[in-house]
Amino acid sequence: MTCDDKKPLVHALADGELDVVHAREIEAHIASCANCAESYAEIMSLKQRLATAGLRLQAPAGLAERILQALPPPEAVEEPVRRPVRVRQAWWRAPANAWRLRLQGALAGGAGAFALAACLAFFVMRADTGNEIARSLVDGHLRSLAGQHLFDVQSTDQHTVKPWFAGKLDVTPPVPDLALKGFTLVGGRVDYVEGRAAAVVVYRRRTHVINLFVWPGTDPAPPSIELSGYMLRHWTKDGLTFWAVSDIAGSELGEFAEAYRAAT
Amino acid sequence: MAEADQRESERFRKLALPLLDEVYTFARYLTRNADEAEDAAQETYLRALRYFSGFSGESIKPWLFTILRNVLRSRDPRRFDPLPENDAGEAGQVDPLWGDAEPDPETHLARADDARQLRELIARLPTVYREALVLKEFNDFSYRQIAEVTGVPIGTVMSRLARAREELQTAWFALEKKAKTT
Repeated sequence: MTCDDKKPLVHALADGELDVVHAREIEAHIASCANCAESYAEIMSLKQRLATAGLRLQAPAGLAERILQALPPPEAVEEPVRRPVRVRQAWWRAPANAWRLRLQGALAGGAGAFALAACLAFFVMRADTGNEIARSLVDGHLRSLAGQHLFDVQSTDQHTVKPWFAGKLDVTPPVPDLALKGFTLVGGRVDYVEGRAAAVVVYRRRTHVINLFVWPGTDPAPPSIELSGYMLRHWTKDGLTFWAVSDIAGSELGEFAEAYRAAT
Repeated sequence: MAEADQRESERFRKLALPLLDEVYTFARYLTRNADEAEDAAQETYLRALRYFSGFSGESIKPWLFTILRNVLRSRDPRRFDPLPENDAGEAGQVDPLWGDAEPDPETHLARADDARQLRELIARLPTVYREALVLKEFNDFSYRQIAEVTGVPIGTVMSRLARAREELQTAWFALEKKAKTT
């Protein structure tokens, strides 16, 4: 197989479409082929850019109403009283999601939107004591996606990743297999957050990377932060600090945190 | 209104309406026109409701997008012809296809600008490449679902996606290079 033949598979790897056997094969090829490694990094950075530039759109405000009018009215359905009139136009959207979608819509709107985002970021900054760390974690997350340094050890096997840390750091994070929960282990690396060494366990949700930073200590920080479109979840356990960082939806990252904590 | 119809309509509402933004997003990238996208999305929902009794109940998204695609095709029978409708053109001089206004000076900031330029570059991709890219990146379809909705083998989906990304990447680099030299 030449590199040209492998090209669609490199894309498939980036899209999380390969089974474990093929994923390992292509990952091994990438590790030894500078050309394919470069294409892979380019694909990942393009995907990242497309995911975070606010390119998913929101339907115009009147459209949902017009479609609803064409449907038989919902009045006869149970619990009509509990549905307040003012939210009726968007009652079928989960509230948390609605806000996110609106924000994305606003960002997609272009003019003026950045000011809004900047205000929000500013607000978040003021509100969060963990902001310096959050910024540095998001930077670490972005570095891992943009460059070649997503893994030092690349394996979907928890029994390979966990011992690897033991020889590198004074912290050995739990490395549970969360595949059944929809989070695939892809590897681990050592990273630096505000000057301290951290173990990073890397999982993947569909095509999205979740970096889980772990270091000793239990400094207080908010459990949940959103920064520049990235979600962060923080918790402590057994004297260790955990930070999960990803661009997946906050609810999904919450699921990840739950699954990880339940398994450790 | 019969009670059964009422229940069906409620079920349709719960399953299909949360996908409206996604339907609109796809329609907007495919038509490159806000009004047409809105019309197509609305027509899709009305058609979908009419055919809803024929929906097997497995996964509504591919089903809904198949209808959306048919709506788009009925509005322009040649839309999904496999021949590229235009070349990617010179990325350096992008005529607005998407219809965004120029950014005003106050918001001339990297992120908003990136979004505008990326939308323009995506809009310039040949339809079948653009379609694969949008379904993958903005609608979170798997390769298998893209193959199902667009009616081509998975191998074709993969090569279209690779082409879409290559063209986008090349055009993006060209823009960046131009930005640096001016």
